[in-house]
Amino acid sequence: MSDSKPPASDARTGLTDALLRARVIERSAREPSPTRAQFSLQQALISSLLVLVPLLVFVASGGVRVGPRPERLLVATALGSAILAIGVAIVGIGRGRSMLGRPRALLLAQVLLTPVLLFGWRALLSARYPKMTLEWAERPGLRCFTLSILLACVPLLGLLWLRRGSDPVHPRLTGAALGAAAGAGAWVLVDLWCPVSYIPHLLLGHVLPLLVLIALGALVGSRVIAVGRGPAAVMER
Amino acid sequence: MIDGRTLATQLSKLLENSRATVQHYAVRGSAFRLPMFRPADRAPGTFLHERTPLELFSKLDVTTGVRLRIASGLHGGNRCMATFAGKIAQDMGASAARQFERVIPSAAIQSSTERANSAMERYAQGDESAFASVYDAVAPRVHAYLIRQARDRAIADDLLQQTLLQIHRKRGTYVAGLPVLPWAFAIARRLYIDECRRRKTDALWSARDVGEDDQRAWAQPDDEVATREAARLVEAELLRMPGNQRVAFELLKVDGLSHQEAAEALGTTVNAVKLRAFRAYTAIRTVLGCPLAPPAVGK
Repeated sequence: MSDSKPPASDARTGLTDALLRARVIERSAREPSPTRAQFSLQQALISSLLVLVPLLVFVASGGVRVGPRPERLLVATALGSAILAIGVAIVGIGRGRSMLGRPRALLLAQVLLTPVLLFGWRALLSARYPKMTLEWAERPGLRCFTLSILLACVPLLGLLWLRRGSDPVHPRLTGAALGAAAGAGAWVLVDLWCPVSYIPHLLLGHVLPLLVLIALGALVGSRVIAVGRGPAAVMER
Repeated sequence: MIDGRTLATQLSKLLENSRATVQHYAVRGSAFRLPMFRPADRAPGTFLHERTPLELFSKLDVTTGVRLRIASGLHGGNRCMATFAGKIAQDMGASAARQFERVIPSAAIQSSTERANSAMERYAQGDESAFASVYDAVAPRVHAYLIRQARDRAIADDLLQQTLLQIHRKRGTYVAGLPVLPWAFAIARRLYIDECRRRKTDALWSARDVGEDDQRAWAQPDDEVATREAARLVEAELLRMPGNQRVAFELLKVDGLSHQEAAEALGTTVNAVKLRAFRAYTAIRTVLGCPLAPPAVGK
């Protein structure tokens, strides 16, 4: 390394390149960051919780309830919504082939189509069975709404935390996509729990919480997922 | 063909003044002529015997993150290819780097993109010394971008530091093989936009003087009056045109990103980037009164 000292910094023109380099490298050395192996372990542990907690809530709420539904209908709706939920999760949670996440158009499609496809699958399939879409006066959908939110809130918060400070391009949309993914997972469990396929009930108790989760993901994501200046932002001079 | 002994001499001169020793090296192939290494237990300028088997390469310790890669592919003329990770130029200055390039005119110098990606991969795996390589590969281009945007060297320095620190904090999330530069540019752009909002000023219309260094970051090296005037017209037009067109133009033409990289950094599609850049080209051509067709956008 050259023995000559770097030129003195100039507050107006900034630091010299060498001094800036040294400053950044020294700053990074002072602030530990997880390696890929450490982050992967952290991610695996948290992801396990994100799956376990909703399952526990589901079991505590009574688990699978067949009710008056034919078993074939139950299996078909649950299986179809599970497949959709997996696809939604892959698109919403995965990054694709870029450190900047999925393309905007794909995330937007995921957010918009998730409620439509899940609702459409349940409604259309139920309509093929007699009396499955009749009104249930005592079941307006509030319990399903509450259960959906309870099942999805921990996964959503966990996903947002895992992606914190990572998206400089479309954090709001990424947050919405994570909300859709968490909501789709909750949909599958609520689908197993709730035998009602009355359309207004589905809209209030199943679709509306999904929309709320998407909106919540967008709102929180715009703050949590967005790239920020981080701690001690002011550069020392 | 380059004589191996001459090459070794040149490399020795570069290394001995840098006080940097090599931590690890990669050697491909089994038959090669030796360039000069500077193992910790050997005096500077010492030649290792030609055709020394691999096992004689003793451990080399790194203090400053220089990585020396020696590739095989030597032929009868003892030609050797070597790459440095930029630290030699950092330590020795541009003149030494040019000397090195003259000695090995066909040296396989990695592109900044490849260097950034490989350095980031090492850093993600836990090689702490690789951050310097990441910095060297990413910082010059991002810094130039920030200087152009912020028109203030101090602000650009701050934003560059924040950008690299964000990359440092998120190294665990880096996926092998994914490009680092669009990521870095996107972070820098986001931080710049947030900084503008925070300061509640439009830095692009700032009345502050642009220093010589800032002008060099933008202006052509040719100092002729006509060139300066053209540059002034281009700059004025860039400030006038919509921001998305300006950014697309600058990322492609000034920062040298590909269409795909620029699209990733901006969070849009390749076609959108091409369209914005085309509109920027058209506007600039109009200002310059240039009859030439816009550059092809098929990258």
